[in-house]
Amino acid sequence: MKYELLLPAGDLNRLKFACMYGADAVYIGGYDYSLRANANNFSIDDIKEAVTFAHSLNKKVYVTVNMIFHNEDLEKLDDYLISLDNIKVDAFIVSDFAVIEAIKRLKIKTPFFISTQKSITNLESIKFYKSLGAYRVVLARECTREDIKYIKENIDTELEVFIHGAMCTSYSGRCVMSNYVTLRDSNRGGCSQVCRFTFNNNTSHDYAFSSKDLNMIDYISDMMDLGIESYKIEGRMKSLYYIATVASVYRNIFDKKENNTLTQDDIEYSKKLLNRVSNRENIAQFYNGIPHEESQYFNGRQEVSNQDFLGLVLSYDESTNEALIEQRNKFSVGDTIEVFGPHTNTQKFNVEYIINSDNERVDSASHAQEIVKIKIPFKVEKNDILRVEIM
Amino acid sequence: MQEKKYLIIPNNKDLSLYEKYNLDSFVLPLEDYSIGFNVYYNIDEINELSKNYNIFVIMNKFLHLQINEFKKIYDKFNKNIKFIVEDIGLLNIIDKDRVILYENHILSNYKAINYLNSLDVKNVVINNDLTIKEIKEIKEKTNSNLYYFYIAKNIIMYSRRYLVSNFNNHFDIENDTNKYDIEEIVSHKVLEVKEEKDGSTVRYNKIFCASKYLNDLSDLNLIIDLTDINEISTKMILENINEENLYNLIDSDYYFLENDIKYKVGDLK
Repeated sequence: MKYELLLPAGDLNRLKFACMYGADAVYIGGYDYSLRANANNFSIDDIKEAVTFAHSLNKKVYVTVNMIFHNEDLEKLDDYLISLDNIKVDAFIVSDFAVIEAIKRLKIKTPFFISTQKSITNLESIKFYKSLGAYRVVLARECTREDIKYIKENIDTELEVFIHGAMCTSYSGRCVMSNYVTLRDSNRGGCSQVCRFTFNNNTSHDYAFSSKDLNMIDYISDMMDLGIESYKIEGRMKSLYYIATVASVYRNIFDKKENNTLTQDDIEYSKKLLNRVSNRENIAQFYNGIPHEESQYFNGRQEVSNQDFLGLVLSYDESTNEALIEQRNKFSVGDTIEVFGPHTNTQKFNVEYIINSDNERVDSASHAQEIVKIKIPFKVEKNDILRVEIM
Repeated sequence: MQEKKYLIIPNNKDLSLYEKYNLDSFVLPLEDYSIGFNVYYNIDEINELSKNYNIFVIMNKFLHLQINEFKKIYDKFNKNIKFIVEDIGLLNIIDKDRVILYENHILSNYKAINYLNSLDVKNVVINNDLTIKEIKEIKEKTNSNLYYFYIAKNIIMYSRRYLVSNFNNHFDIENDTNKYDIEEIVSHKVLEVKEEKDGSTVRYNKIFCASKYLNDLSDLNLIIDLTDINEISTKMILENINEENLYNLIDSDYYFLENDIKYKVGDLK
């Protein structure tokens, strides 16, 4: 069975990296109608380029049209869907019945998936959406293994599950705290993440109910054995480095699962990589039943910024073994650095020297996005990534 | 009978208390299938009450595998009872003329309502965070039977997590409460978190009250959810149920009826 690894992308560049680093499909949002109204997002021209790029690599592009529409939002919906259909995106991810109505009325051939925003938790709900023509359903993140197994055994509709990334405290779509506390509409993409705020509650402790992230790495093999078709990573607001790392980690896991060579050592190493790139702790959340206090934070935001991303390879000269690097975080002569890429297995090297853009040898590359030249004793490629050594 | 169609979600199990206000239509939370209310009813109680009142059963939980259990009990309800449901899977089980779809804060435009109508889902609860202008447009452009939470401490979040006991366990707090009032430290807005056996709900602590626009809403089925509303305000609501001025008599909030809500940071002034 072929399992789909589905990555997010907040802009065209990140989409390209998601594709290059192992995604089978990428989901994106346009300027309007998606649930990340404040991400960079994609213009119609961007989507066209994204589809051309992805299809050239035999990858798919799904476009989120999954906000909850108010009357005023309906006016341009038809034109938008027709444009996307003409571009030949591979699917729409929808939640509002108005979008389903438009797709059917306009006889649009592009398949549609039902968004996790609808919090689908049972077989009957999937049957309902299947009867409307839904090609795939994204299950609620609150589904347990038992829920998923029962559903999969009783219907042939494609299923998509989240396996990694941030979680709402609520069932998706059933929270308008953002509306009431900050006057920003959560169901139209303006969520201000009130569930990550801190509150007073007349005890000696501040009250918080923020969720830790989801990480299904320990159960990915089990999920695949259930026969789920698509495995989704959350994070359209996440960085290029995050996207590339998570894509490459799960690509490796998926390939080994398909080749029947996946080992516990692979899982443990993948966990290290994923934990380094995450800015919150993560657990399997609802897979084994309703989680308790271990699934939440109680002290407000506990997020750490990640400075593992050291640079991006712009080019490599095999005759001199020198690579041109765009710096992303500080590194110095003597540091041990890892390189990984779409065609480059993870390898390490020591930085012997750094030459800046004035052709001077320097001790460190310390300026963000400065271009430097370093020696790498093995072949690397454009768009490979340099990161700190993962022990 | 009332001139207008009021449907009461009681905060006291004894429905006879409401008779003196000439109310005879009730929305009763079904035990084990609903969450966030003060009182719950089992099938026997509901069937008995349906002999004397117009009864709607509300099921506002996502049902997971439990939906299979509902299939077994559905036929036990008296045929005059209707169902207000959150879980869309229930549309496959309950007869279409007995079901009212209630996707909390989700159904917000006329095209979605008309599409549901074309699927024979002709009874729907519309979002009560809409402006009165949006509601009027929906009324003009739909033929469905519209229901509306007219007075309520709105449920603004529903989680499968245990949001009170998890907090208590984390800090080793020993109390038997299942509810916290929490105040956001910047806006000072107060939310009411309540945990039950299948998860938690959060209600806004001010009473949404649309009485200022009672005439505009008069042809809707108006749901009055008395959950977590104190005795004095409950009495005030029931005694002044037909008064447009009711919103001035209680600690009310109707901001969203008169103000568009923004969703892009660039739209915020």
